Amino acid sequence: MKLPSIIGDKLEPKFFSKHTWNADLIEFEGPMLSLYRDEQGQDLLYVWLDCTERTNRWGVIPVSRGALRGYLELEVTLRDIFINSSWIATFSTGISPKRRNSAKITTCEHLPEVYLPDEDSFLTPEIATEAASKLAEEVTEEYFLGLDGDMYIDDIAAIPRIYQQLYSFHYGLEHLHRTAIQSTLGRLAGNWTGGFSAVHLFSGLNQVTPSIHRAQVVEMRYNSPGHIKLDLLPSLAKQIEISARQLQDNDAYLALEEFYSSTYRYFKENNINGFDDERDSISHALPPQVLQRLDELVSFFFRLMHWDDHRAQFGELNIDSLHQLRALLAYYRRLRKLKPYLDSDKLFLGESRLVNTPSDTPPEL
Amino acid sequence: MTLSTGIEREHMDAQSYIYSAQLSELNDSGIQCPPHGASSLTLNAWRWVANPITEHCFHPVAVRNPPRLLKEDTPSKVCSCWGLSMYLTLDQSVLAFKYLEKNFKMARKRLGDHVACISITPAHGVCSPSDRHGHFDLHPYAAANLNASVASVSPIP
Repeated sequence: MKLPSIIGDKLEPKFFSKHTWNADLIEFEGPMLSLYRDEQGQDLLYVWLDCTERTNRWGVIPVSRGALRGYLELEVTLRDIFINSSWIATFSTGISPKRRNSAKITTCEHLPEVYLPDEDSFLTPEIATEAASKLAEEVTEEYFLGLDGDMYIDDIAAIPRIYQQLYSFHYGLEHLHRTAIQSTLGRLAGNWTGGFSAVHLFSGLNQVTPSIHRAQVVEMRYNSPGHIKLDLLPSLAKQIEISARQLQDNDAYLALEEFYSSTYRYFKENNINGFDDERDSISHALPPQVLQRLDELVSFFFRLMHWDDHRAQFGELNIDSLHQLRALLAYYRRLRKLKPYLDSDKLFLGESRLVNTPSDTPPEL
Repeated sequence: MTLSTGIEREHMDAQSYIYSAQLSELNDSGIQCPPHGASSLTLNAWRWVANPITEHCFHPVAVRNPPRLLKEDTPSKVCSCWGLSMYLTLDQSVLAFKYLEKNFKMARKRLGDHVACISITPAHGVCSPSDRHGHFDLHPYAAANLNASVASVSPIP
C-alpha cells in the first residue's frame, strides 16, 4: 500500500528541528493534531494525514493567532486553516517518531483532496483534549502600559522587554499543570546542573506560550503621555501589578531588598556561587540543612511577593530549592528594573493617561 | 456497570498489567498510571477495531508499529499511551469517530472501520474514569484476552 504522492519541493528534515511542542489538541491513542511553535514564534499545527503499515504521514500548517483562537472556539474549521495557509509541509515517520522522512513543502492546492478536512471540521468537545479546552478558556484582553515623561530609545526598548520576561515567568507559574511548561522547566533544570542561564528560563517559557496567550502589541502611541496597548491574559497582568506594588510600597520594598541582601550573604557564607550571575556556575551537592534553608527562603520570597497560592505547586517541580531560588532572584532583578520608571511616573501598569485626555477625544461633527 | 471493591483492586499488584514495567517507570517519574480513580469494572464497552479483528486491535499506541507519535519520549510521559481507548456506549463511540473523521479523512485506515462491543470484567484490567463524552482507557492485565471477550462487531456508519 502506497501513500498518494505529493507535488512539492523537497524539504530538509532540519526544517522541523526547531519546532517546539506545545499541546495536543486532538488525541486518540497518540496525537492526531498538535500545537507547535517555530523559532520565530509562529504557531504551527501538526496534523496526522495518512498511514501505511510502515509509516505515518503528517502535515505542518502555520496558523495565525486569530485562526487558532477561532478553531479552539469552534468558529473556524480545520479546513479553513488548510485553505488559508500559504504553505503546508509534509513528512513521514516510521519506527522512530523523531525522524522526519520524505519531507516536502507544498500548498493546499497541491495536497491530495483526501487530506483536506471536511467543510464542518470543527474542534468539537467530543474530540478536543483537556489541554485544548483549557487553551480556549483563557481569553486575552486589552491592557495598557501607560508611558509619560521624558523617554529615550533605550527606555522604550527596556520596558517591553522586561515586561515580556515577567509575563513569561507568570505564564509558567500559572500553568505549571501544563506538560509543555513542566517539560521546559525540567529540561532547563537539567541544564542548570551544567550552568543555569536565567535568560534561557525566560525565553524557554516564552517559547511554550502559544500565540493566543502571548502579549501582543495592538497599538503604540507616544507623545508624552503615551502608551503601549497590549492584548494579553489579564490574570497575568494582575500578577505583575501585584509584584510591582511590592516595589512601590516602601515597607514591602525594604523587606524585599533586605531579603535579597541576606540571601546574598547566605550564599556567600555557604560558598554557593553565582548569586547574581545570570549564567551561574556548576552547582554542587549541598548539605540537607542548607537545602532546607534555601527552601525556607523560597517560601519567604513567595510570601513577600504575595504569591502564596502558587507556592505548593512550585515546590513540586522537579527542581531543587537552590535553582528555584535562583529563578526567583532572576525574576526579582528584572522586576526591580521597572522601579525607577514606576517611581518617576514614567510607567503606569494597566492605565493610559493618553486615553482619557481631551486631545484624544475625536472632534464632534 | 458494576464497580468492584477497592480491596480487590489493591490485591492486583503492578506485575499484573501487560505493560507493568512501563507503568512502573511512569509511576517512578511521578506520573500516576493507571490514573487516580481508575477502577475494576464490569460493563460493555465499545472500541474501534479493524475487521477482521486481530490482536493488533488491542495494542496500545506505545507498542504499535509504526507508532503514531511525534515525539520519542511520549510513551514514557503519557499514561494513556499504554491504555486502550473505549467508550461507554455505541452512540458515544460513533459520534466521536464521526467528528474525528471530519478532521482526518483517513482516520479509518488507522483507527479501524468497525466498532466492537467488548464485555469487560475486573479480570481484564482497570478502567480510567470516563470523561463526559464516555471515553475511558482500559489498562489491561497480562492475563486478559480481550479478543475472546468481543460480544459483537458492526461497521461504523
